[in-house]
Amino acid sequence: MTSQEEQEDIQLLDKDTVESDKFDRQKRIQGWDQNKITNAKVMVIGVGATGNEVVKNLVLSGVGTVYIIDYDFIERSNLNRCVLFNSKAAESNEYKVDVVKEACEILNPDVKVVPIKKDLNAIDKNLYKECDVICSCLDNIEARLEANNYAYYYDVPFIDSGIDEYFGSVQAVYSKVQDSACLQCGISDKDLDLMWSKYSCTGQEIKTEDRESTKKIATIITTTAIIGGIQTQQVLKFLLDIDYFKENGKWSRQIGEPLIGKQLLYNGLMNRFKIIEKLKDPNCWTCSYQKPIS
Amino acid sequence: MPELPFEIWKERVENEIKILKNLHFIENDTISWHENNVDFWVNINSLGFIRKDNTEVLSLLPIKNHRVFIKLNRSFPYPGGIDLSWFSDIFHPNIHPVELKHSEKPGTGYICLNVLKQWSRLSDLESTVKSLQKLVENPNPDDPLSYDICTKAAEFFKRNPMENLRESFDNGEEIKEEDEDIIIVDD
Repeated sequence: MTSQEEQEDIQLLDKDTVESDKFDRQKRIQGWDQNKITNAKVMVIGVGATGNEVVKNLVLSGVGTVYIIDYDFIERSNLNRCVLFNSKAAESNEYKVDVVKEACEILNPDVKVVPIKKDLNAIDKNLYKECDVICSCLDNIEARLEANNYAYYYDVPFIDSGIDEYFGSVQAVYSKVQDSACLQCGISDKDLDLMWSKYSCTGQEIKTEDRESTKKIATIITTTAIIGGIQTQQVLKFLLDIDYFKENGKWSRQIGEPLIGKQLLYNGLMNRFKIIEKLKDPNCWTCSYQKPIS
Repeated sequence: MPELPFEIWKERVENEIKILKNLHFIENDTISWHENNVDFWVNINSLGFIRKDNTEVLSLLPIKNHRVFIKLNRSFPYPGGIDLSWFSDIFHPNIHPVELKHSEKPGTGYICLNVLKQWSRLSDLESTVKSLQKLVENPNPDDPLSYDICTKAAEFFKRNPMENLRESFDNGEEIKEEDEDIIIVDD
C-alpha cells in the first residue's frame, strides 16, 4: 500500500467523515471513485416506472448530471410504482420530467437534473456524445433501437431494460467490446412486423381508441425496483471502470464486468435469474458499419 | 420508426442506389439529395395496360414503360423507409397513378405492395423495385385500393386474367370488353 492510500484509509476512519460524508458508505467499496460518479453525465430515456427507479438510484449515488427525456404527463395510474411522482402532480397532469427533477432536488441538491420534454427522435443528437452512459427505460421497441443506434455509433455505453409483470430484462451494449451484440442484432422480421403494424399502408401512425399506439402492460414496483436496480448497477460499473477497460482491455475484478452483449432475464414468478449471450449479427444494420478511418 | 445515424444511413443508401443504377432502373440525373432524404425517378419495364379512351366500352392499350418516383427517408432501412409514388397512367387494381388521363383529378400515386407491408431484415431497394415490376404483370384483384378506378380494374382483371390478356397482346389483338353485361362506365 502506498502512503497516500494509507492516508485515505485513515481518513475513512475519521469519525466526523464517517457520519457526515454523504457517500461514506459507498466509498468503502473497493475500486470506488466518487469523483468519477460526481463528474459523470448519464442520460435516462423514459421516466416511467423503471426510469423513476434508475433516476432515484443515480441521484442518490451522486451522479453529477442526469438528463431525463420524456414528453409524457403524469396520470393517476402511474402512482403505484413511481417513487418520484406524487398525487398532486397527477391531478394537474404535470410533465413527468418536471416532477422528477423537483423530487431529485430534495433527494440530492448537488445533482443537476436536466429535463427534456421531447420525443427521442427530436432531441439534439450531440447530446448522446456528451453522455458517459445512456439508459433506456422505455415501453416501445422503436425508441430503444433509436437510442441503441446512436449510442453505438458514438461509442457510448448503452443499457436497455424491459419489464412485463413479474418478468424483466437488462442488456448492455458497448461498441468498444469486440464481437458483442447490439440491440439491433437481435431484431427479427417479426419485430419489424410488429413495429410496422402500428402504421398503415401509407405510413400514417394508427392510434387505438385511447389514442395510444403502445399497449398497456401489467407492472408492479417490485419488478421495476429489481430491474431498475440492476440497470443502475450497470451504469455504475461503466462509470467506475471504463478507464480501466480502455487501458487494459478488460474489466477490473473489484467492479466486475458489465452485461455487454448479454441479457439478464429475471423471472419473479420462479424467483430466477438467467443470463443469455446475445449473438452478434454480422450483417447488422447498426453495428456492422465501419467508420471511415480519419 | 427508429433511424440510423446519418453517416450509416448515407452509406447504406448510396450502396443501394448504386445497385439500382447498375441495373439501369434509375433515370439519368434524377437523383436529388436533401437534408433528410434522397429522391429519384425509376423506369419500370413490364407489360401493363391503360384505358384507350373515356368511352363506356372499356378498351385497353398495352403499355410497357412506367415511371415511379421514389424517396428514401431517414427511417430507411426500417419499415416505411421507402416512399413510392406511381406516376405514369396505368389501369391496375393495386396502383392509383398520379397521371390519370381520363380523370379530372390527378391520382394519389399509392401502390399496394406486399414487400412493403412484409418488410424484412433482408428487404432492400432492389427487391422493392423488382417487385414493382412484378406487380404490373401480376395484379391482385382480390385486394384493390379503395379508389373507383382501382375497383374497376379489379373487376376487369377478375374477368380477364392477366395470362389471357398477355396472350391476346402477343397475338396483336386489341383488348376490348363489349359484352353488354360487363360494360364499365367511367366517372
